[in-house]
Amino acid sequence: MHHDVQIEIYGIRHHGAGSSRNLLAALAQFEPNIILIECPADAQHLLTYIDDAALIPPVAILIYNKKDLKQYAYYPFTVFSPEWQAIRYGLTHQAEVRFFDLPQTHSFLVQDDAVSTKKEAGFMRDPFARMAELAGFDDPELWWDTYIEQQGTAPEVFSAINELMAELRSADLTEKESNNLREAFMRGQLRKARKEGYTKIAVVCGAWHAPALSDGMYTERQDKKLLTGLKKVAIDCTWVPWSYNRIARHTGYSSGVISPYWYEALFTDPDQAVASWMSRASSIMNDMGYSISPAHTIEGSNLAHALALMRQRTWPGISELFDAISSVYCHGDDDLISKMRRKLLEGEKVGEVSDQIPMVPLQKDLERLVKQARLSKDWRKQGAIDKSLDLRKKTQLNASRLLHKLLLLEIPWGEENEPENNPLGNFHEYWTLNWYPDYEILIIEASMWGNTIDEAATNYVLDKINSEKDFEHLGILLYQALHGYLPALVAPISRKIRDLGSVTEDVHLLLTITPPLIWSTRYGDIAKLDISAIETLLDQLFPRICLLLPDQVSNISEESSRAFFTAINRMHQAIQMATNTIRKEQWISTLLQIAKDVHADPLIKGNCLRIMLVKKTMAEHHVLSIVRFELSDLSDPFRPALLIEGFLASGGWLLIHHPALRSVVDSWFGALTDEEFMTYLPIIRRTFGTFHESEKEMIYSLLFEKRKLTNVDATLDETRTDAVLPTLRKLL
Amino acid sequence: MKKTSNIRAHAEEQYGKELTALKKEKSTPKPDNWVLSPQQVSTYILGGKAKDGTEIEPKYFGQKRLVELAIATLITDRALLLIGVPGTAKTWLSEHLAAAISGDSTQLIQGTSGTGEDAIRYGWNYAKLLQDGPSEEALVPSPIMRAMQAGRIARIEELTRIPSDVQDALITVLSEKILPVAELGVEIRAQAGFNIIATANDRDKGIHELSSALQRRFNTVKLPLPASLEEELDIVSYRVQKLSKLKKGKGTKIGLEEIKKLITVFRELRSGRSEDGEIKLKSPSSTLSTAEAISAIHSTQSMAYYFEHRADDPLPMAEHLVGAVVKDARQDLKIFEEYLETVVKKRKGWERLYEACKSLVNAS
Repeated sequence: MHHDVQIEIYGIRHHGAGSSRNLLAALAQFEPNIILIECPADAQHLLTYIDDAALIPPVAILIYNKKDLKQYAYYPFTVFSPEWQAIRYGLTHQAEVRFFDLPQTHSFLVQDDAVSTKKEAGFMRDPFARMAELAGFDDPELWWDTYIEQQGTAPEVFSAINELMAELRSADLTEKESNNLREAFMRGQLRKARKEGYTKIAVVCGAWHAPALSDGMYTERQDKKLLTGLKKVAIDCTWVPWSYNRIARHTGYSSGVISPYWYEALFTDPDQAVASWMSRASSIMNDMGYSISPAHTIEGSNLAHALALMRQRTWPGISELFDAISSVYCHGDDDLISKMRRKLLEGEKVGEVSDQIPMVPLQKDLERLVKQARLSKDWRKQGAIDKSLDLRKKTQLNASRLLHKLLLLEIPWGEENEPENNPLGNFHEYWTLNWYPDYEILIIEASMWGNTIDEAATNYVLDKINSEKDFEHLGILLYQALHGYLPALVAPISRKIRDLGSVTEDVHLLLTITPPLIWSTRYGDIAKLDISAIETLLDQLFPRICLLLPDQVSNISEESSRAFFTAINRMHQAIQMATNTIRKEQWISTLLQIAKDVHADPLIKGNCLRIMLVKKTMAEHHVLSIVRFELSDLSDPFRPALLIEGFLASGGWLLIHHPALRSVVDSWFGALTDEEFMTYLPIIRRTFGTFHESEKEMIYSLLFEKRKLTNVDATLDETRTDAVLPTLRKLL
Repeated sequence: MKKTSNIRAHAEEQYGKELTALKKEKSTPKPDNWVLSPQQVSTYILGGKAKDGTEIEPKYFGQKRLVELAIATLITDRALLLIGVPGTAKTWLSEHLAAAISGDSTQLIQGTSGTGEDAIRYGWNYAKLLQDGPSEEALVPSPIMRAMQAGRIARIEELTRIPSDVQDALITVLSEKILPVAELGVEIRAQAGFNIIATANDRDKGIHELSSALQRRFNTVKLPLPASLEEELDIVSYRVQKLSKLKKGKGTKIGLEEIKKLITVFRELRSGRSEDGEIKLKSPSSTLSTAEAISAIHSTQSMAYYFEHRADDPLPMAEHLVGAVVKDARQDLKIFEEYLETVVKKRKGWERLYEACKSLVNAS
């Protein structure tokens, strides 16, 4: 060893804010001319992008196996990650920065035996979090501060860590093969840097590895032997935007990044961290509509500090912060506390990656499709954008297909609104677009299923339907596959639905999934869909619905009656828009059967009776006689009221246009005793409450004009009728 | 100290030894006028050992962090509001906090709908007032005034039962730390160490909710019911053992297994689900707090002692159990019967308890 070479090994905690602060101090003191960083060496070229501000953290390096996209690895960086700060230091101080971990091209092939226990893995990944846990700390940063920071400033801290880790490693923990390889490789890189003539070498690595990189214990020959003959796979890598949510979620508890926001505050300005955390809590509470004064921020900080003092800690950790918030802001309200906890932890911060950076093939394909569909200006825009697509136009048809395909990949950029509210006929789809930055990651994750959107969506869904048992989900998948124009999916999903549908007795479920299929058939030609598979499927499902439905809507609970009510109306609307007349007839005769059934559920029966009246399937006097019959039954107080509710569900216009019906309902009301009236009142109110204002006015005037004209009767006292009017108005 | 037979001693009397031992030891700095340091207060409440070896009994069995939160609040100049359903040891904790911090838990106001402003501020000795006019001698200080003057903790029980306008008399005390006596043209200034611990039942929160101005002066700590069966079992058996001054007799002790059964019943009915989470149950109108479980077991034991039952006779415990559960005869009885049939009947080892309860239910 040349004695003019200085090597400093900085064992850090990944994403440790305290580590970062110390590291920066140490680097400033040491002034290295090369910095070796624990990150796969084959991602080295990605460092060039950091320079031109093309990256705003949190970002991650994604490395994937080109041949097998299921194999991939992420290396996330935040502004408070020591690795990120080390890179930035190197760039601003003209020191060479080098990734020196075992290249991923080998790592993908190194399979560790699954013998190592979780505990060991925990120690290796983040020894500090494990030690903090053992010491009873729920916030590793706090443990770090209490036990490491107290050891002194930068250089001493790192030598203390080295000793600590050496001690830990000497305990009998079986080293994983991948770990041995990685450390051998890192030692090799260190030797290489020395040979190249660098005199001040800084090494930034996970604390666990620190002792293994120091000199003396391993020989160059041993290391070389270990590393010869390693196999390779073809890899590619890129930068992707990352998010604080994923830092907290993906790395899990063991990494101890409970709240990235807190760590960021700790890194950027530890003295103000508590205050800035509390003012964030204040603004969240204000946004939720609570009135929060600046005094809360101060009181919250005071209490957090008092708690830290109480617990003999140097400053508040995450649990002190939350305890203070629960007491000062939430007044012990458990619901509010958990809501605040979620909001404070989950706040979304997403990094940025400029588009000069190479993308995965799927991203490129998506960008092409977005351009083709002329959606570029809406892409990556946050905030709801309403979009109507005319499917007769090629580009808009493309847009529709793309959005459906993304839905299949579970990237919900667009949300399709149901066509019931669609007054313009069959050529349009209505979408609400809203892009969340997290979708970038979903795209890259989806890339494991294929390099084009078509391929990925197809593979993903084919894989998914194997285990999908939920009928409704399958229905939605089929609809989306059709509209996304992925013919390869239609047959397999249809088959799956048919298999499940032919055994299920659950008519409600059948009723729920069928309408989207019927919509698909009606504008098949416009969207250029192949609807033959759908027609076959409907031919099998639809008759079953018609057959089973009448029997299933008697003697049911009010809850399921309401569920059926909604499902029947949705189906009815779909059928009305469809072109298949045979199905229309089948459907109407099913409803007729229910309308005539004495035992049918009153809400649904009322509903069917109305449809019969409107469709003129039954004569008016026939319908009215059934209604009269039902209303005469006073044994069950709710049956008549529910029947009326079902009957009048589509609005007050029925009462306006059918004088005979009006008089049936009117005379039923008249015959009620006071007590009965009071019993029905809430249900009646519920029905009439849904009427449009103008409808209510109309009914009101119809009822009274009629009275005044026909009952010009000396016995009718004007003042007495006037006394009734205000009450009646209220009721209506 | 003279041996008296007061039914109950104040916390600072009962645990005087512990407080003295803690007071003697070297500690981290104490806030002004505090008898103990914050860490010592925590040890006193949660139990441990004083440095001279004196055993410190645990007074509160709940979560450590809540106790720390309560103590930390009292270090800052905000007042402390303990809330929780009945039987969550609010009063108990407040008494011990006051004893440990001020060495005095007696500055107490019991809040009722009849509590007037003079209970919070001050009253007058009318004889003297009529004779000499307003004077300091004629002034009758409230517990709060006394606590302010002495720099101690004042306690208010059931804060939300006090009418709102009376509650608001606390605002000046808490924010300005003074209590003006307009009649004498003077003001009482609070000495360091003064603070208020209030308790409120959050079930009848609606009675007189705190104005937002007053609420801002309090940090709230919610005391939960014990989270697990084991935790509750610990509390109950510990407290029962403390309560029981009975001489050891034949069969006066109720076995842990039986206590466990009673608590299981309490917990299941309270939460509306069986402990394994599989059966949904209706909850009766009764509170079924931990304190009631303690009292049920204590009285079962006392009865066994004085009436010389065998303690393993399930009937006395069943009587107390039914008594605690069934408050509203018609509804609760039905709920309890349903519970007996769906849950208790099927449990192994519960046959005798089931029979005993069943016979009581049938008899009523």
